[in-house]
Amino acid sequence: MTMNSGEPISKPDLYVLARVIKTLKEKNKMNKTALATATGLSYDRLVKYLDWMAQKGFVEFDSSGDVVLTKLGAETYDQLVKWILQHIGKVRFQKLT
Amino acid sequence: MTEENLSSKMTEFMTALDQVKAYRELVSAMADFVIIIVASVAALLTANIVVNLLDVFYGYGFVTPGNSGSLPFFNFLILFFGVIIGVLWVRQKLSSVRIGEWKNILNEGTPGAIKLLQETNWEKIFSDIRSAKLGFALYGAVKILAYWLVATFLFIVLSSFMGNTIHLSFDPISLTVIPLILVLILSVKDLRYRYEQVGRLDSLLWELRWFDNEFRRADFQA
Repeated sequence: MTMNSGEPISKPDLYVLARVIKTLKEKNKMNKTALATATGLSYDRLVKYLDWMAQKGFVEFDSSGDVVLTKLGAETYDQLVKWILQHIGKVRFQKLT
Repeated sequence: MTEENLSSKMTEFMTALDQVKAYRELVSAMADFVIIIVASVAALLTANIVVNLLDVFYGYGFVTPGNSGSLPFFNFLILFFGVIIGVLWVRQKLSSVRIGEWKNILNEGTPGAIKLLQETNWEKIFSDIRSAKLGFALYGAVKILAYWLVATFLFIVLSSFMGNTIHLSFDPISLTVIPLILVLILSVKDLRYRYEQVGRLDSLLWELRWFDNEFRRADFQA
């Protein structure tokens, strides 16, 4: 499903992706306007991201047009959390007082 | 491995960076500290010149009649307050460093952690750590020098008092070396602490360099 949203996203911002997925994880499914409000994105920008995410299989749209997080989307998010933890977890921060 | 783990690890990371920021401030605060000490010494010299001139023009003992020990005591007081003001100034500057600004962002959880990592200016952090190491070590040295100066003047006051009462006098070398030894003995804990902190900053630098390298190389594939 492709939406008419102007220039497509070539390099998505991980922060925005994580916000969208996290919100969808918490709410299960949402309409685009509510999702834009919850993530603090403009509607147009959100639509661009949703377009990109739908192409990657992270989200899909139900019959009423609401955005639903796919299993792949949820797994990708968990993978991202794991990746950051794996790397930042290896850094030993000695307490500086 | 949960989002809570990530938040706590990120809190540790950002707290360490905040500490580096505060130590980094030591470099500029140290310059202020040196200026305050030099100003105290200048004030002390000016006071002595004025007293000596008044003595020349109005006769010896005009300013401090009948008390030859009071001038060294006033010298000591000027330096003592100079050092106190300097140390307080440095502390005030360190406490004015804004820390914990990342807490609200990190409250967002994983997205917040990603944002913080994305916005981290690694080169600046590495440079800050290097400056922090230098500032932290130099401030310790400058502080010991200032304490030595104060201790020397205090010792001069005491030796003048002892010379008048029990006729015990010290040669000029003892008047400077004994206070230095005392100051070094009293500062051993501080010196050890500074040595250890510089080592910790060094290892933090290497750890972050490794992380930066991994973070740059990573290509998150969906």
